[in-house]
Amino acid sequence: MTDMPRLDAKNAILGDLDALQRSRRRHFSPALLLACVLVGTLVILGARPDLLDQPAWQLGLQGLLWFLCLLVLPAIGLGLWFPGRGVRLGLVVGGILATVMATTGWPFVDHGAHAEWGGLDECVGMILGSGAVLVSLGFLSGAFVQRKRVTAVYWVAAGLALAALNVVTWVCPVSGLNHVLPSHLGGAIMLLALAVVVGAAARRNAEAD
Amino acid sequence: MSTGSGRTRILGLHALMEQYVDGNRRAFETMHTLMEPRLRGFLMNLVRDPAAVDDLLQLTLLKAHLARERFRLQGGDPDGAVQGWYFAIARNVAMDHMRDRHREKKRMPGSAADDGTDPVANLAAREPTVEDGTVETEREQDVVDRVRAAIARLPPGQREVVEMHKLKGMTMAEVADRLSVREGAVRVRAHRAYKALARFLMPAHD
Repeated sequence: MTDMPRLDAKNAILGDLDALQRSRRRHFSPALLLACVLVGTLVILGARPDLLDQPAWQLGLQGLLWFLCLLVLPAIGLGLWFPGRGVRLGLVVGGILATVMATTGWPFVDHGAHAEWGGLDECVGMILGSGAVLVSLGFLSGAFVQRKRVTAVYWVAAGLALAALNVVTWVCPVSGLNHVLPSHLGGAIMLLALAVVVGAAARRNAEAD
Repeated sequence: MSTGSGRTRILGLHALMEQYVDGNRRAFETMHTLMEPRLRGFLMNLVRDPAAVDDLLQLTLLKAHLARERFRLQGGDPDGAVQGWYFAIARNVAMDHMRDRHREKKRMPGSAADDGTDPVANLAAREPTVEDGTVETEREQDVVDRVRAAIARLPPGQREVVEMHKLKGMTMAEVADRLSVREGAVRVRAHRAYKALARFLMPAHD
């Protein structure tokens, strides 16, 4: 045994793990591109007329949320990035806060009550409709079953729900809290729950195979 | 270098294992740093051959890597379970090595030359046949079954000491800590248990 070339298991294993990451990136890049095309099309076709009239900080937060939902959250859910516990907690707390501020303008902007555009049903329908397509994309691409840890489902689901929420934020011109809270955020929470259920089912199927 | 006595539990090992299975290379590097000296000491304790230990350690790590998706948590000690899993793989690798070494010694070229047999045929004969493998596997399974049955016959107090000490690879100090008894008491139980096992496993004579 000692006459054969020495095997370096550690480097061989690290190489294998790197190959796994490359394979995951290759596998999910098309799905991510498709998701970007979908949400981009929805926004371009129906962008709210006052989109760029929003306060700069709110636009900036909305841009940050796009970055979160299209890159950061999927990266964690798919096992492409493994941040520490502090970073993960910061992402959750910061993400929720940024979402509320970006979608409602709270606490700096008081939009009052508006009711010009559709109503609750249309916005909820838009979130669930676009979200259903995104969740299907996630399911078919195997995004929910990449990691062994069950929490990966929540990260992927959160990314999908946030993407749908961002779409409706850039499409629906109604900004009053009495509309945004129940329809936009309420719809996003419903979508999040749906995505988690779908993700859990995907994992059960994968384990059964 | 410690001879496998550093088997204190490594906190956070299970969390690292989960991340490693998910593909986190940093988690694997940390696990490797923590487990490598312990596995090396454990293997040295078993095979007593420094030249072979390095190779066996590499083999252990590779086998663990290939089997990592099959790791299942059992029992209430996640970190200990990961450590025990690695030690079980290392133990099997060491046993295979010692078995191969014993087989090679039995097939020394000297005996073939004295018999006048073709050395090429003798080289081919060094490779285990499918039948050898089957018989060996059945023999091993028979031994495993007999040992398990013998352990099951022990009184509960002795049985749990044997299971923790021999099957999970814990030291006497760790067993004593787990059972909340003095180490001396654990050693007495272990001594009685191994004497009983030797009696149970002794071949019956007519």
